[in-house]
Amino acid sequence: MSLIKVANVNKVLGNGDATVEVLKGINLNVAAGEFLALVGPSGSGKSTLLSILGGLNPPSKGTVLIDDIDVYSLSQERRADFRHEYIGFVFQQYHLIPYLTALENVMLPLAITALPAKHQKEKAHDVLKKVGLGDKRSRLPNQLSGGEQNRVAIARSIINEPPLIFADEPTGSLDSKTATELLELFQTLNRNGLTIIMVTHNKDNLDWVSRTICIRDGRLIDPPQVA
Amino acid sequence: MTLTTIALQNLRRRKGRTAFLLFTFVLVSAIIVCLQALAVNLQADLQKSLTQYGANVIITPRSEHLALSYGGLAVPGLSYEIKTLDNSVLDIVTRNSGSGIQTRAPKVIGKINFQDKSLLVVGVDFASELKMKPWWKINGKQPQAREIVAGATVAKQNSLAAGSTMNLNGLSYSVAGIMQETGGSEDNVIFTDIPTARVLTENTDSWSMIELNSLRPDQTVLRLSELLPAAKVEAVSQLVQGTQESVDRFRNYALFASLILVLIGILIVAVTVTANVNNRAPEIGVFRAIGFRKEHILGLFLREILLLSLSGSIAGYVLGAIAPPLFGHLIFAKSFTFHLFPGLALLTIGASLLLASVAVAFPAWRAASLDSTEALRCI
Repeated sequence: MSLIKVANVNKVLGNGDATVEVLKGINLNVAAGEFLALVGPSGSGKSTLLSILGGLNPPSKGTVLIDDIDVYSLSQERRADFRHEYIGFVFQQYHLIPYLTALENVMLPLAITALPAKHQKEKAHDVLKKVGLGDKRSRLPNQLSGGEQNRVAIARSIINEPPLIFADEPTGSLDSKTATELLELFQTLNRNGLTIIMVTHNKDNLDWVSRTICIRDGRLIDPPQVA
Repeated sequence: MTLTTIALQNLRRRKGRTAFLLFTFVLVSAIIVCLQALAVNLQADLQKSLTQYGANVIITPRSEHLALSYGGLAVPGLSYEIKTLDNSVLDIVTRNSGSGIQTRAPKVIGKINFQDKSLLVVGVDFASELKMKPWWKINGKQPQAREIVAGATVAKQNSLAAGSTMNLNGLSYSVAGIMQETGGSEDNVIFTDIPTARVLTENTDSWSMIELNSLRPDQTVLRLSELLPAAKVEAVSQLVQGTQESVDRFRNYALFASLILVLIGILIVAVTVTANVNNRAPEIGVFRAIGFRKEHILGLFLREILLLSLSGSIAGYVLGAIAPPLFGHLIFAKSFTFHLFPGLALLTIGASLLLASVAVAFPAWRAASLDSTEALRCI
């Protein structure tokens, strides 16, 4: 059964004469438990599609259903609640909050829940341990390496136990060893039932995923042709 | 982890910005409180003068010179052209006691030299004087012949104590007591009885001024003015009118300056927070992406500024309240007492919180309204 159903999604950027159609008639189904790679050349529209799937960027046309909920029929605030409940994001530049420690960054999604502080800490510590950073919980982001920051970002994305993880070029700025460790972590999470959609342009990453879809000039290419 | 924790950590770890905003709140609050405290102190001082003299009446010689200050009031006097009230004035006053006069306190006032310094000596009838001024407290006893009581400042400056002696005009005078500090001009003079003052000032048969305590001061002034054309008869309230005007002007200035400061404070906070919102757009984008609602973002910014405003206004209030007693004498050449001003404290803190909310409202609303598309662009 599909967890994500995308139907006829178009995205036009700009206005007037200066418009660019970034996505053209995208149709896509993602089943629960898939580890999906979204590949394509720069400017092909893969990050835009990811942001649309993540409820961050309304499409110009078409619908996005996640768990049978029409994401863009929700108000902006309900969509925020929806993201909080359903989606964990791992951004390309990690985007940790610079003035919060690793532990506090991981706890961030819990700050708007009613979970008591003690439980929040315990849970965040457990998740940090799971990503191998139990001993670095008190460090600020600028005291962590790129790989460690990435792991903190992953811990932050899963603390709330969402069914979906969207990762935008998560290995983009990592060396191959750290990138492998990260993909192993993603694979473990996927085996534990999480659905993961990862934007990447690195062919090596595709060995780790269960399905690859390719996007070029705003259209999905079937069968996928990896650039 | 709560929104307050996030706000606190941001303030704690962005020290430069936090210090700047905190300094703004402290400075604005301190200056406003200081100005208001000074205004209240000056008004209280004037009120004290009024209370001290109540509805009293002062009779002084008619003179163009205003060289002598006593009791916080300018008294015509002694510097160039010494004019005095002759004995007939006191007789006329005594005969007209029916116009509501309760107490008469004639004085002999003059300048004497002591150790190359000029001192003001005031000869009074202590019995009638203490009736009018029950707040005069003497450490020691009332002076008899050839004895004096020193004002607090005079005693301090000349290391006088009850029992010590002063050589005045070649004669030795015993210090019978020291008058406790009043905060008024009493602190700067020496008191003695009238016969001794006459000897010291070589004024054998006239009076420098007469203070009256009257039940109907206006009537007393009218009546005595007719009877004493050579004297100036005034209700004290007339004399303090000028001072009241000065105090009123200072109060208005303090109010105006406070309003300007508040506006400047609002602008500084608004501009700083607006710049801060722009710098924090990626961070706001992350918050929005992970599910923070508008109200959460708004709450974060409000918490940060309210925490700063609260701590800044409390510190500013304390600084502003202690500044007049510490530094007031440098500007106003008079001592100020420390007052807690609980009303002013509440007003300062309340107004600071309100104005901080006003200053942060627009930038915080902008931050909260950063929709996910914009947030995404920042990420």
